[in-house]
Amino acid sequence: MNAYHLAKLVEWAGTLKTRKRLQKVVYLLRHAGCPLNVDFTLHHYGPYSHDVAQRADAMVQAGLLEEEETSNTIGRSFSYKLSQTARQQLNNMDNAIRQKYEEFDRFKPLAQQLLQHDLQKLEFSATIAYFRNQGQGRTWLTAREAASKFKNQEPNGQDMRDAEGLAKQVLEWEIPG
Amino acid sequence: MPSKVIRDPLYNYISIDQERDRWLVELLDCPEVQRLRRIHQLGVSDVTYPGASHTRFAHTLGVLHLMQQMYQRVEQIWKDASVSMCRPRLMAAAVLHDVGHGPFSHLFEPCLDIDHEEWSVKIILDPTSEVNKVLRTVDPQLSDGVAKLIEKDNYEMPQWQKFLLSSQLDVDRMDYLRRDSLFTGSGYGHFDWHRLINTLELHKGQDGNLDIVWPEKAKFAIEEYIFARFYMYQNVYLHKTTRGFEKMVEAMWNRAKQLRKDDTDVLLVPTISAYWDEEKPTVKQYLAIEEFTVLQQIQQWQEHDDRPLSELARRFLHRDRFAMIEAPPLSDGLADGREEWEDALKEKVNKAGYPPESFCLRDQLKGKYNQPYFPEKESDEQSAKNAIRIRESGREQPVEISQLLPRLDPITAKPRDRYRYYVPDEARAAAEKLSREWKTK
Repeated sequence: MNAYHLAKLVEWAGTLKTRKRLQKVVYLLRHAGCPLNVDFTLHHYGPYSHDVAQRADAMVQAGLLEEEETSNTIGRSFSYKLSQTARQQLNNMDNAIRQKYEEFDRFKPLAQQLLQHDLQKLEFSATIAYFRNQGQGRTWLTAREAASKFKNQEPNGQDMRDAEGLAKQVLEWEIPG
Repeated sequence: MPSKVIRDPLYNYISIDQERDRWLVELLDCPEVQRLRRIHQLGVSDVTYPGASHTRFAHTLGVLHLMQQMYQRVEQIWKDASVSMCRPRLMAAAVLHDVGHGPFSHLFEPCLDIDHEEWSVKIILDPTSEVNKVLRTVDPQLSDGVAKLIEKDNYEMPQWQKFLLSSQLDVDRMDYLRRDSLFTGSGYGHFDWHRLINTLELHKGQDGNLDIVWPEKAKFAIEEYIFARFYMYQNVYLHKTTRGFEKMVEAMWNRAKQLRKDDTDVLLVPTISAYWDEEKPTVKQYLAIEEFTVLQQIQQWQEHDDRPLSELARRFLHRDRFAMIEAPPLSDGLADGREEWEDALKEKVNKAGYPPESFCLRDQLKGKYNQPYFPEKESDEQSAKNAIRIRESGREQPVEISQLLPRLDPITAKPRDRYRYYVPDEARAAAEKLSREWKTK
């Protein structure tokens, strides 16, 4: 995942609220076949990538993203907006580079849809997708059961069923046109 | 029955109670564990630090020693039957966490397409392995529990147990930083490990899982540990000479794989041939690949007709290093121009008479290695796996340590990938000139 990918995600979001949302949306996009070369490991709160976290911080350092910190009962959280510099660079990008990212750009509708989802649903859904993608012989049912155990959730509860529905929908999503 | 004591340069005596833990001595005596005596802990770091010839076996003993002490601490602070039940699992995991390492530790993983954690799990679960047999004598379920604890993405065992073995501050890192520091002679790996062990706490998170945290009084010991880690990475693990030879080995094996794919005979030694010919190699085939096997292979390649392969093999065995070229400062923008710079560099190497695929080597030092403690800063995404956290009195939620110690900012807050390139000496002058002039573009 490079600076262009993250800049576009933030542009599509307008304001990308929380790093956790960023992590889970990137994972689900990859689950849908989006060409993002990034490694994830299973973490306390579902799939997590050091590379994604690092890319966001590096872009803040480079003045491409604007970061805003907020505090709540859990602790700190962060949101991101595109800087004017990044906006200009995206607008002035030459055609050869634009063409290189055409396939990625086609995932815009899915990304925008995912960015709107409730954070917990994204977390559960990404975790189910992770278990589904892990190892051979995993079915959606066994993936939901494993994710439910991992998240201390009732496997047949509505939250986990909805999350499974979203993970399936993402996998079946087709590039428009 | 007296304790089994083993002399160790870090801890003086490592002791195993033979009354209670006879099986641990048997586990250490298994051929799969004894094989670790023949694996260099630091790969080829001895090309830079001649003293760095210590082995995975010595490190394994150190990890066992620290796990014994960590367990003792947990037993004191968390009175629960589940703690005493997990003891054999934690001790066995400490002994077996590296049992799947291949020749020269991490170095040959990309060459032979190895993931050492996957092989550790396979060896532990293989009913024909000696370690599996020993574990079964203790408890028929033990091998399964140990494998789950070691397997990267498996959280079926309680997370705090996993984090003792693998997290931002675990027994593995605590041993290797000090051991590597001692054997390289670099001396950077000092920190108050006694305090870290004896102040560790368990914290119940909102989801009911136990996690590992430290009290505020441990913060300076943690700071010291983070700096030790930073210095060791800068001076030992990412040393330019060592990394250059690592890239050379990788290029050599990639060349051999390419030739083999093109049906050229690459004079494989039987052990490697058997391993590569098998779609799913067995544990026995994997364990047969030793350091002397790959060295014999490289020695044979010196005589190969393919010039890149024989040249790389010769250079490695004779410690004939490549020149390191620092990448010029590239744009911070959305398109950094790296491809153009690399194409120009390859052109220089080509002009010097070397095919760039094998003689213009890129080393990308990812930010997470360049800044070895890189905490996740959002509280809702933190656990011991990606942050070291402090429990402050009066606060319900633990706080990530760099929030309490702003001194850590310079080494935690600017994650950057760093690029180095390695080229033959004949291309050095042209490459350096190119790099200098690139800066002015």
